[in-house]
Amino acid sequence: MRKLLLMAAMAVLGAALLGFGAARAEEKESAAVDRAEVKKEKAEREKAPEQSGYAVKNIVQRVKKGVIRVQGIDITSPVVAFNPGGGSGFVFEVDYDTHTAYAITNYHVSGHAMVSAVKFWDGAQYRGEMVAAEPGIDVALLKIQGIPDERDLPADQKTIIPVTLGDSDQVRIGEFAMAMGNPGTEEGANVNRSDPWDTFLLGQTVTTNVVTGRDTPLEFEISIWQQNRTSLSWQYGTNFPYTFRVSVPINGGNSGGPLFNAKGEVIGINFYGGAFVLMQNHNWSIPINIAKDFVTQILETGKFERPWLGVDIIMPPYIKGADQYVEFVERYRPENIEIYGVRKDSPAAKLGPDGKPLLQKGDIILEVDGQEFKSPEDLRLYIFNLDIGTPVTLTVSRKDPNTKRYKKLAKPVVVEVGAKRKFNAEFSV
Amino acid sequence: MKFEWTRWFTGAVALALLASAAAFAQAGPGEKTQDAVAAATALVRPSVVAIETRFDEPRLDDAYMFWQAFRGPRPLYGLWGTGFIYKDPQYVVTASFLLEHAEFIRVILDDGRAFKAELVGKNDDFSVAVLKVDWGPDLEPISPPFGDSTNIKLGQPVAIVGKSLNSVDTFATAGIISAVRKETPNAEERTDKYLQFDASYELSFIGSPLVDAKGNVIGMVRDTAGTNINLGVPINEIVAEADKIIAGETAETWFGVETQFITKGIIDAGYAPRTFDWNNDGKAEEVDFGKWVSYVEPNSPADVAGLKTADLIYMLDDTFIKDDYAWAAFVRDLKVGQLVRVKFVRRNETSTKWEAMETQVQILEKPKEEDTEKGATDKAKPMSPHGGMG
Amino acid sequence: MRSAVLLIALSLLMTAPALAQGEVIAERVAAEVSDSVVSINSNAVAYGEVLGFGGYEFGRQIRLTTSYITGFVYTKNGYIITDSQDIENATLLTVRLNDGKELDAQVVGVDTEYGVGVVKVDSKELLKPVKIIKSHYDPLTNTYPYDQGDPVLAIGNSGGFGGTVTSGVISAIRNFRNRNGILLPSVIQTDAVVNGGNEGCPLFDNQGEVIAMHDRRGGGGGMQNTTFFTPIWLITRVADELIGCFEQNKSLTDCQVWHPWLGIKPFAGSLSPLDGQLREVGDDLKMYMDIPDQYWDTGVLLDMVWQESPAREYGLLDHDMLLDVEVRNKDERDIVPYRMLKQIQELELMVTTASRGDVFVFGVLRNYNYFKVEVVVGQHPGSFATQAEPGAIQGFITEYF
Repeated sequence: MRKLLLMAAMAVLGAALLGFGAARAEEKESAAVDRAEVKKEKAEREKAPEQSGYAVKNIVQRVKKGVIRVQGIDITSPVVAFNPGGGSGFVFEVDYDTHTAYAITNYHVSGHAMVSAVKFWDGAQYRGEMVAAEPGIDVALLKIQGIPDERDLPADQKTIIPVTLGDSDQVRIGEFAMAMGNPGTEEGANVNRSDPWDTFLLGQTVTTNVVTGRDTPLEFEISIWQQNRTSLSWQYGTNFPYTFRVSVPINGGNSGGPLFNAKGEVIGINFYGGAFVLMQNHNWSIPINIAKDFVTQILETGKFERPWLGVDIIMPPYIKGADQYVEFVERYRPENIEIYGVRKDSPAAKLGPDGKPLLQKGDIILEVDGQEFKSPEDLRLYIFNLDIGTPVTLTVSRKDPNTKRYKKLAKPVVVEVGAKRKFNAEFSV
Repeated sequence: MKFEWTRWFTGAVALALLASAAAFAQAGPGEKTQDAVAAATALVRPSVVAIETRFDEPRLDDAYMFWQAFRGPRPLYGLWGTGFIYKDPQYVVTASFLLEHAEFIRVILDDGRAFKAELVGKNDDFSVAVLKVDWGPDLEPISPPFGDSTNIKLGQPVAIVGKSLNSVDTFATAGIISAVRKETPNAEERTDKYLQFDASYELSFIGSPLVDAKGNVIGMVRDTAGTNINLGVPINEIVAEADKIIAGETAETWFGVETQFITKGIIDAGYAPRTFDWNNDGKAEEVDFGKWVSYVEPNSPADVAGLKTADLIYMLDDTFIKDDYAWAAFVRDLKVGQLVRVKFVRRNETSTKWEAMETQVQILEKPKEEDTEKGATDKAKPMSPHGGMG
Repeated sequence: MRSAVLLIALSLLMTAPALAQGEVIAERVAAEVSDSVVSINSNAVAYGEVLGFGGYEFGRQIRLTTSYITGFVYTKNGYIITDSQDIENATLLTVRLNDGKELDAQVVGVDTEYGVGVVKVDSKELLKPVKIIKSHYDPLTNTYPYDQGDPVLAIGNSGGFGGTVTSGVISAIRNFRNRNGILLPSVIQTDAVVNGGNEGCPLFDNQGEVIAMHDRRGGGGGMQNTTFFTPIWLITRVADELIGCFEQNKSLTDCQVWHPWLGIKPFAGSLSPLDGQLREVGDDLKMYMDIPDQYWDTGVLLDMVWQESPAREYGLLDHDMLLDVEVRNKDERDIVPYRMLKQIQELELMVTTASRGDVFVFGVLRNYNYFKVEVVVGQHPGSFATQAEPGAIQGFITEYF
């Protein structure tokens, strides 16, 4: 009888202990019995959070100390007073020895200003200096001055924790994405009577959904035209490899802010968007890899270059607007990759051994480096990922001036990939 | 003693752990499914095709104003949207609206290859169109996994896997099922159920598959009724209609009324009685039944049978119209040539008393829309949550 | 030892499949709470062109569409909480339950400042009330029962589609003014889709509890997925008072929904009578008023004190500087321990969350003298609960609080 009672007591005690543990499933600080599997769960979360269903709030806790509010200060304006504008950004590197941090934002947020006011999650404000900006990819690099030396502090006491930059090429369509930033709205004014515009930007706003897809630069431009119906000036040209289309809600003020994946790594910079009943949550992010490349090159060499041949294969250079392009494609569905033009002073315009330019307008590109490309877009991306200085071998078909018929050139054309230094709003490759 | 103690304790622990295991499994709507949308997209995209049509002649109709909004005020040469490979992979299913006036149809696979397609048939009431595609001898097209829409739950995570406006890129958006409804959303529809979801929609997603967390197709994206108020057809309805179309039973029936289920507002305004003895048992019952006719199409079977606006239809043959579902279920199974006995309530002009009346409606085949007065005026009508077409 | 190993192994075994599986909370919550959310038609029948009954000349314009807002069942016997908009001047109210049943409803009371309305339906069966979260924001420890990033569900009459369920996360929790300018603590901002018709809609957490009610959409509805919700503790505080008044058949003057106020207008953020610009307490002003150095970064400088207000009654004057504060309730319990006042926001929030009879003990600086003034928080003069009688509401003066 006593044995039975003892067993029953044990059972109840055990159940109680673990029931308590179950009730506090989220915290998992509890009973000694749980410890091993608590450790296992924690390890699992650290390793592959998206597999174990990592909660959004945990991602937020990890990254919020790196997300900033950026406000360009325009010292030429007569009143350096309040400016309800501004946007978002993120700190990716910290140097305690020099008390500085590096941050990225959009050029259109602060790139025109030499100095920006940078504010963190706790209200702490610092001076951010423009290091470099490239309007062609809408990226600006800031150097933040005067940050405290927190190297000896544990993570939960640090006030600034840099975010981790991810790999935008690894992003899958439909993957979880979270935006964090400071969308602005008039409702936010006057919360703080002493500083009415202080909360105009809804600081550290979190929104989530998925990465919807990748838009080619052209699709991106056409979409903007569809949204705004403004006469498009091809703002970014082919300077991006692609843009992420995301259905994560973003608004004005989110610009420059980070797009995180489930692991809390930055995969994009939110910079454009709109929402209409027929194009809901139609937003875009710049893939982080191009920004990483920009930062690396600027910090190492002081300049930013991308591979370039100088040929127009996406569309003829005379096309100046999205509506013209749409009509061009409707009428004339290109079957080949045709060179519509060769840019002056480009690698493709260099004179060959015969004294003529290596590539000419009207040439059809059949193969590049032994590969066939199904579309100009595919070829564009191929060249986009080459190193400057790489020789590229093109099998070309050219119109014979006498017979007026296309004939494959006997010798392949070798062009050395050059450097694109001016990132205009045009579509040459 | 020691060993037994351990066993009992282990048993108790195991039991308690079972309980805590359930607690550990807690996840919010976006959490466990974080990976699910990406996995579902990868699974389904080989079966998702872009649909491009060319009209018989360039069009400027209001009906296509949405597509024109993307291209400026020029004549439209054709439409574009999405579709998916059917259970039988030689067919592709898409939204019927895309196929109007289509002379030439093209489907484009995820890898960019384009194929010619022929319209097998369509049913506008269910928004379903079936295309037959000439895939050629080398290609073995893949059908996506098909789900069962009878068990769709409110709040269930769903994703749209659709094509972009350039007919090349595949896009995915995620959300949840916002509602599963039995009312018909507008006058054209005859579905007895439609899905509402908040996953972001765009125009080129018309005809896209709606997939659940496991990648099963549970519906087709049909339309939008507002910001993130997006509508879809449940897959079971699609399969039922597509099978009929493939089997050659494609005649659409025509009744000719626009209706809405009775509301207190209609009664309070005096357009329907408060109580009525519909089954002649001497007891007048509160009127919370019946479909109230708001419009009768000129020259339609209903018009010919003498039905008029403000009639309250409460019986179709032996079916008592106690709710929208009863109406839709009856009307959906109508056949061309069928004779339907309609019982309705109408206020007598002279005596001003509410009277039970009866008529016979001969169901005809639905005429082409341009040929009806309603078709011509109806095209750019906005969606409303009420109303149903018989 | 072996038993411990066995235990651990067993526990790992038990939890692994559970972790892999995962229940989808949104489905469970939606199923649980859908019956507690209703649509409220506050208009009479909305007509298009009525061309007369006798001649059957209706035409298609007479589609009798009705516009609904949202509400949620508060008690089993039929009290329903909703937004104050559209309820105020309603002459005919219909409540539509999730199963489609329509019930007549009457207005119990409306509070336009906090945006709350209560209606009552007469239902033969007991209705299913919502679960309401018990704990709420604790200003002393600055903790919330929910976190930024937590998943939430909104259920409402989105765009006329009743019972629409949308999901999102808590985008932020911040001190924010409601649509009438009252500063509230811990307003929830979410990215769940909300449309017109969602007025009065509840926000549910993972446990299926209501944590907040819709206040307004960002940018007047123009922003993507940005909506503000008022925390439920305030909504139910107001609803309980409205219901109390209704059940006791109190007249308009006897019954007031508690709107705490002191009657002070801070200098900063007030409008200058000279040029209408927003004023701020700059260094020159501090110098002019000869405020000691140590108080330059603290304190709330008052511009004016309303003539009929608790502040005036208990002895505060124009241009007083409030340096520190302590709040006690009427039983002498400390609500807010003594602290220096650094921001006007803090004080404003203390007033919003004050209860009847709370005493604000201010350390006041006036004419180089420092002394204490005790002010008992009072009822704002401009608010009265209505019992289906419109017109008693005066404008809420946001300059003073």
